[in-house]
Amino acid sequence: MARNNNINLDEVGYNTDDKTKLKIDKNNQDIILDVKNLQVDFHVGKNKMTAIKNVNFQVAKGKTLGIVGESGCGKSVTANSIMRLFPKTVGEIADGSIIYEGRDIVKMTDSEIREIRGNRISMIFQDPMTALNPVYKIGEQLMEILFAHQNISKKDAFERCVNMLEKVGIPAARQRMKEYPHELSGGMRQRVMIAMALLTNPDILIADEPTTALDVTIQAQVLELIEELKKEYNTAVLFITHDMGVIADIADYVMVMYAGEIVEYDTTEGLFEKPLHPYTYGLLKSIPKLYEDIDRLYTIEGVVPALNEMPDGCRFSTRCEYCTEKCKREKPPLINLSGEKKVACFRYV
Amino acid sequence: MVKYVIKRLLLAIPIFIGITIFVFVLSNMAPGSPADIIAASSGEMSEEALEELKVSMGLDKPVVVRYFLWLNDLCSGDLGTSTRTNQPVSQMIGQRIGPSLTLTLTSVVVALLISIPLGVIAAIKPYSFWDNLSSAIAFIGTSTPNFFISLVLIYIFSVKLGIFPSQGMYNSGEMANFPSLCRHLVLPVIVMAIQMMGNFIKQTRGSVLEVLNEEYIKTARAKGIKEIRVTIKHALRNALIPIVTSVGLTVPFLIGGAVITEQIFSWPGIGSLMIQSISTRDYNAIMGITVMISLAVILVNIFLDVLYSYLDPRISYE
Repeated sequence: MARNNNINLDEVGYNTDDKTKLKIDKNNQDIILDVKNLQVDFHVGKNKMTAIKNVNFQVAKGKTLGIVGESGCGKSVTANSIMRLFPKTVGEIADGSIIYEGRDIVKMTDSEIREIRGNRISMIFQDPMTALNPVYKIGEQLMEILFAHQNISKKDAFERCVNMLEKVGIPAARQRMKEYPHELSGGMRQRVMIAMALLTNPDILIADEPTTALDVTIQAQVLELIEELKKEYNTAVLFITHDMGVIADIADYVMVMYAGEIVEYDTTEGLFEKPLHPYTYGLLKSIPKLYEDIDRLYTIEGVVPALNEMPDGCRFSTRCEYCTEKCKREKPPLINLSGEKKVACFRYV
Repeated sequence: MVKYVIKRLLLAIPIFIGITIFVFVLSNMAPGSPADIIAASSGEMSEEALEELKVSMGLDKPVVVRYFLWLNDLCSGDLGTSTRTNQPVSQMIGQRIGPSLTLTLTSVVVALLISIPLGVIAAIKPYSFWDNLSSAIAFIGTSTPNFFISLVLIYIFSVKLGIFPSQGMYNSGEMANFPSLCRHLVLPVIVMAIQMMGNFIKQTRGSVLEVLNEEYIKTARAKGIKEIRVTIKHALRNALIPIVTSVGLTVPFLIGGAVITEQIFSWPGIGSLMIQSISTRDYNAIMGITVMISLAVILVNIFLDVLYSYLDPRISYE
């Protein structure tokens, strides 16, 4: 554990401050990314819609933070905002800060953020079928990163890329360098994406549903690969998925998001042992289990409300089986419970 | 690839024959024959003399027979003789093709050099000043008849300002020389380029806009490379295919369709030859030009298909 468990109920009590921050060990130097109070607004016509709000989390070196939630909960927005990957015409970071190595990414100029992108922080995308440019050879797409960030000769760059491809388990790597993306299978392409992301030995790897588009056997291989490389390079991983099974496999900490807000945060063991938020509980309950003999899988009723139809109170209130009048009126703050656990629900206040 | 090209060339033969039949029959169906034109220009001519002239020109035979006679000549490389000038048709076309290509190719290059950057800027910054400007150019270029643009340009630049000449390729009595050619090219090139630009700009804008939404553009940005490189190397290269198609589709227009522009600027090209040939029912010349244009279109299409496979490695003809 990179972080010591320094929070206990007696000291901290129930922190009901709206801008709850995850407590960190002050002596711990391993925190590489500190996201504080992040809010992202999207432009919809002339209106602004808040996609994520009050998002706070930290990622430590060599640790994996999993972000889970269903489609549209703001997982990808969170990931993209760390690299500031959406164009200003689409949306903008309205509030908060993203501190990387003491510098706020939100305030960086375009050229400063470019130095970090693909170099210190890299990203793996969901669909390897569309994430590689179809008209350039694998080698060219890999080497491009090295040329962008390092003063390196073409020959050295080529060799480094070949080594990296071999490391991610691509056979005949030298040959593959000269092939086009369409000549590779989906699993191979995702390996190429991983190689691409790790080429510069980044501090942080953001994996945005990297296994969703792959079939299950390949999924397992890719997860294992990310795990191995994380250990080898001591990279911090931000792993985004909607698959609780994957989270259980790979994450050290889990952040559950619902409708653009954090509803629960805990260590992976803690979360699976004792899910507190009704949403988390529902998510875990809807995983099919081998030993259960049921006809229908458990589902959380309803859908995530649209951004312009968000309830005033708890955003989950429209779907929650424990919903009270208070939940509809007031927004529950993210409160610190014992250990690492944080939850945003009035049931635990 | 070679195999594919040969296959395409063989497939082109029936298409080519179809085109020639179509044009041959159509031009023969038009009222009046070359003999009538000659008769009309030579003043009084008796019915008998006219009949005799028709027989001597082979016009008394049925259309089908005449077509096969023409096709037979074509197979031995003979395009026949013009009934208007008595020159061999191949020689007439040979003289005209150079000026035509000079005009049309210059126009395409100019149109592309302006449209692609404008289209790309319009796509990167939709609804900006540059986008609106390019929309305006596209709108004006596409909707204004080119004779009108020609007349306006001639009025301003030739008549009022006297900067650019409005007639021919060189000044009369002048030897062929490059500076003079350039000055003569300006106005007709502007007219033709403006007409093409509307299409090219809109095609580029739409195509780039679509590609910019692709995941691999996000990947490229995530690599930390400069935005200009993302746009040109990653987006434009992928957007080129529809642009190339659009340029390819204007080729028939370029070769045959510069008719009006050439006529207005007295450009000694294929277009003006075609107008003269049609108005004098010069069957052989009409057919000769048809052969040339259809061959060009067929060859350009094959060339484009080959170019596609170069632009997009996913396209392969093996």
